[in-house]
Amino acid sequence: MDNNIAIQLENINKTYVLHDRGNTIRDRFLSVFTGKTTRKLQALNNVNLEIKKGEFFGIIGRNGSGKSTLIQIMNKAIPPDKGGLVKVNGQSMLLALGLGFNSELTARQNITLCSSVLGMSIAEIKERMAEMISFAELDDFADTPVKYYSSGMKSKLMFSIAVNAEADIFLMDEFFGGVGDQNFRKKADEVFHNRLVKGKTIVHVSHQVDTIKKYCDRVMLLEMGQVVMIDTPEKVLQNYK
Amino acid sequence: MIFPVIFSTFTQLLERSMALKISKSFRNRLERIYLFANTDYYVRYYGSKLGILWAFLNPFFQILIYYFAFSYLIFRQQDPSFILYLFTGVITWQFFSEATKSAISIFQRQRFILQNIGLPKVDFFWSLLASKFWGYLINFIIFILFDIALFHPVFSIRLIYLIPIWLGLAMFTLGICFYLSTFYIYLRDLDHLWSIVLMAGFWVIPIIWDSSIIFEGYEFMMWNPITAFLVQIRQVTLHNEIPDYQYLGLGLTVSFVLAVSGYLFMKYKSKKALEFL
Repeated sequence: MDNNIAIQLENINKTYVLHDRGNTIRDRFLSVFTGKTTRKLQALNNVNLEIKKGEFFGIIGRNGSGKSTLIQIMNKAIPPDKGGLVKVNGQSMLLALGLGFNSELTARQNITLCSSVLGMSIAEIKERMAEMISFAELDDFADTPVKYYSSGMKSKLMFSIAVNAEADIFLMDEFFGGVGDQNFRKKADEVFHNRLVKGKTIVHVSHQVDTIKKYCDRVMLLEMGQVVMIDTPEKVLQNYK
Repeated sequence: MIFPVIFSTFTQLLERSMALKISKSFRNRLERIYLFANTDYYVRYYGSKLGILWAFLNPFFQILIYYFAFSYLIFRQQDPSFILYLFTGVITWQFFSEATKSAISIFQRQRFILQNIGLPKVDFFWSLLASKFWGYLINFIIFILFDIALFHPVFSIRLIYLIPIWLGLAMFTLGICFYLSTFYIYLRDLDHLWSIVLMAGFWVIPIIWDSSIIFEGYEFMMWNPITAFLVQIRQVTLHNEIPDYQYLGLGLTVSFVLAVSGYLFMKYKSKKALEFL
């Protein structure tokens, strides 16, 4: 794999097998007598893509077009169908609403766990802990279990970890849709504009046209699991409308 | 907390020794395993008022209940050292049953991190094993102190035989954990079935009954790795004898095969864990 490439996808198909019955021993036993109770749903169809290191790449498409499935495949959280190839150069982190934390643990403990998984040592985490908490604007709630946080607070915390623990690849799935706080959105703007995440690769999945237009170097338009086009934001957004 | 102190001393010692230079990624992995193990302990015990004490109170009361039930109510067993026999059985069984029960839903519990940041799934199992074995070790130390205080036993260098026995026990437990957690992805009520298996296992394994008096036709009950390890643990700790190499060797072989095959099974069959759970 070329060292300048952050993510390479070749021949990516994804078929979900939907079970009409539940997934228990009883259901498995009953299906022997009642026959097949599964249906197939093709979520992605022959997607090929290369994202360069340091690129701000957008993915746009309507609900059900396969955007989130694609980003989960990039994060290696789910596998593509047989024959598909996923190569990722660096440590990626998915930023999505409602994901990412052990709700029983405090912000401090979640920062420690996630940062360690992203490659930081315990000593480094201790050193940067105050900075991460203050970046997320959670100084007064650092020792409160995350289960008491609002979704906005969780998003801030997640963004702070990704920026400060220096994930190589940020995979953002409709991430800024959930951060209602204008001050924090401004801060995120600064992060991207001042290139605090310089050299980092960002994949931004959204159907918010303004953020795509504002940040992305290239954009992919997905429709029914298929790539319609990959081009500059202006050209792709013309087709999307 | 004592755990971080032990851990950092351990890694510092390793780093300082000339022969073992730990690479940053390996050190990071060790730290990650430690952090997950520590989290497991924290989530389990720190929410309750007595906290970590529950890890010791539970087996303590279990031993006391069985001791009084079997010494005074059922068998009229008057040998006071019977409590040591029970002690080793209960804590060893508790290690196995707690680890396997906890492993069943491990991917579901850890999906918060699996979904966001890719990491080798096997690390969760190392953490689980470390956390449960830590509890077992502390219970074992309490057992040794209890034995010394009340029964004045003779311990010798033969205690070193506990290392291969524990290694076998850990491999067997790990193998079962790999299989259970992977099957759970496709069979969501496996935890109920497993609790029945554990209930039966408690009586199949010589935790309470005397393994030296086995009824004719029931010898097969001795041929499982947990029994093999438990019998050897008692041989070493209660009788200061060397283990039966053939019996232990067989247990170790079966456990090794189970751990390796379980790992491969988990690796290839758990890829769709996040889709199903």
